[in-house]
Amino acid sequence: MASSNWDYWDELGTGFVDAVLLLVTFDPETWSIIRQSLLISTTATLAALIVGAPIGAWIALSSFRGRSLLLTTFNAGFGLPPVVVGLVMSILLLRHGPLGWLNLRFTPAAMMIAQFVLSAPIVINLTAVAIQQLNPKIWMQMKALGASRAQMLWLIGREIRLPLIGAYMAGFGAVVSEVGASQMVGGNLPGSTRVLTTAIVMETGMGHYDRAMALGIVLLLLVAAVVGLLTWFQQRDTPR
Amino acid sequence: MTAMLRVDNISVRRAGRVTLEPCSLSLDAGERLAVYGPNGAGKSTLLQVVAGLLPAASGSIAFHGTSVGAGMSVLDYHRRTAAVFQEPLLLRGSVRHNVELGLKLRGIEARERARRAQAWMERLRITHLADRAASLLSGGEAQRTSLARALVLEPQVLFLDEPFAALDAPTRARLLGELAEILDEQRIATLFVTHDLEEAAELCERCLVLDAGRLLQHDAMAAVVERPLSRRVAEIVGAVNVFEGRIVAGDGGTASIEWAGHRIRTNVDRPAGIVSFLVKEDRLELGAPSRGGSDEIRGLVQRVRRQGATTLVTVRVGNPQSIRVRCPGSEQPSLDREVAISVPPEAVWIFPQQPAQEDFTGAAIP
Repeated sequence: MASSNWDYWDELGTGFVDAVLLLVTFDPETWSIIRQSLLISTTATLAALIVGAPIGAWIALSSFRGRSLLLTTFNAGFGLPPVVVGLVMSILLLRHGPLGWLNLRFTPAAMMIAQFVLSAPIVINLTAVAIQQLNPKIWMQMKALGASRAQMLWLIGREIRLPLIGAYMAGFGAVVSEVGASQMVGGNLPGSTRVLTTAIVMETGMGHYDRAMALGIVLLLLVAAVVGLLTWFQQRDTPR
Repeated sequence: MTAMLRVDNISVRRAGRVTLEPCSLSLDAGERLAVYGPNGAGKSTLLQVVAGLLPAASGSIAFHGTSVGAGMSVLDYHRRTAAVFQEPLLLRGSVRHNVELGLKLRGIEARERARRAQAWMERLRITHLADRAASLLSGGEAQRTSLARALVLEPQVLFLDEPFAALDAPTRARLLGELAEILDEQRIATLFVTHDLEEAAELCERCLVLDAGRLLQHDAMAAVVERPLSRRVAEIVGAVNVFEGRIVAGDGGTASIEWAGHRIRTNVDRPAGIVSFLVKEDRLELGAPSRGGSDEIRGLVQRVRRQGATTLVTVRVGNPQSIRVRCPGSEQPSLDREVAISVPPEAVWIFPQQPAQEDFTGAAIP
């Protein structure tokens, strides 16, 4: 009993050392996974920001029938289970499915779309809230200053850039660490759709705890680095 | 000659309700017009619609003879005018950024922007705050920044919507004085919304009195106070002695008014009937009853209130009528003392616009 307990901790320690070695020796496979993770999740979240922020602004600034329902729907998107998104996407992308002709199944593009679907509601909601919290008279002041429509959008973007960075962080954090949708639509193909989360699941299943731990550490560091960078941007503008 | 800014029969509707009835005004270069009225009068609505910040239900705005929205775009109009509101409404960023913002929106190059912003920050004494975040400013500093942001644009018309209302009295007085100086010097046409008559008088030559979305009087500043067109205008400008009385034939072609059992001489002729009139409290004289003059009303001192450098004395002259007299602050008549009030004819003003005879209440306004 004592021996097997010792073996367990010994193996875990060795795994941790191997994990660090994999990272510091720039193991090509590990770095390919990191690169794909970054590429897919940043692209998906950036697309969510580009599409979601104007939608959030539109919802915040217009009054139409069903506005509350729409906002509630997007709010519900916060709790959208990645596995369900993965399932729906997989069905849509099946060869004979409605989007089968796109031939996107098991491609990074399919993963980007799935992650976009997961992060867009977060961006939409946080943008709408940020705009609703602005002083309504600020629009009048911008007009009075002689701002054109395009300049007003630029000024509003500037006014809410901190919440927008927050929205990006929240969206990125959610998608880079999800596994269900990525696994289902990506398929975990090496060098293509294998990302940190899918690789961790696979390596753990195969008993390769060293690689799984290495990738886990990288995932944590990656989230910390991206969020840290964005937080620095955010705080740089906050008056103290 | 065409006025620089001409507004004809402009009206505003909100949610199907008229919030501003058709209203006209004009402004020439360097002219300053106050928009005065109680809360909810529609003052800010008028300013916003004239400034092109709110759509009008009817009417037109012409700037230098060109129709805004037709011959001239609203954006172009905005770029030749500026507005300062009660809230400073500063945007994220430093004071310098805010002051330069309007110039940036007009495509002025950075060096010129910096030069002009610096000059106005110095003028409004905020240079030391140039790099401070706008969100960290005090109310007075923020309003100075807001004024600098508007004045740096060298507007031809300046719209001021109660810009001093949220400031403490000393800051307000200082800023008002500085602004009056700047406007005199720059000859900027100004539309100034306020609910403070003293502020209006300090800054403007003409005044427009609004109430419940209706234009009641458009006149010289002094005329609004001295010669209000109607009882409502008198109430709005803070007149304290507004009464109803009966016109009786007077001597030498001038009418007298019977009120509260007294006869008050006027210097105008009016046909017999009930009228609403104003007795200017600062033109009355309070004295001992022994004087016995023909323009005297006797009564008992009911209340004495200090108001700044003056004293407002309420004298009961009938039941329940009373009249108020403004005396120098040094005069403090004791309560319940019998006094005589001298009412010269020039202290009495009969409103040119009278209510319909059936609308008279027959009672003095408390």
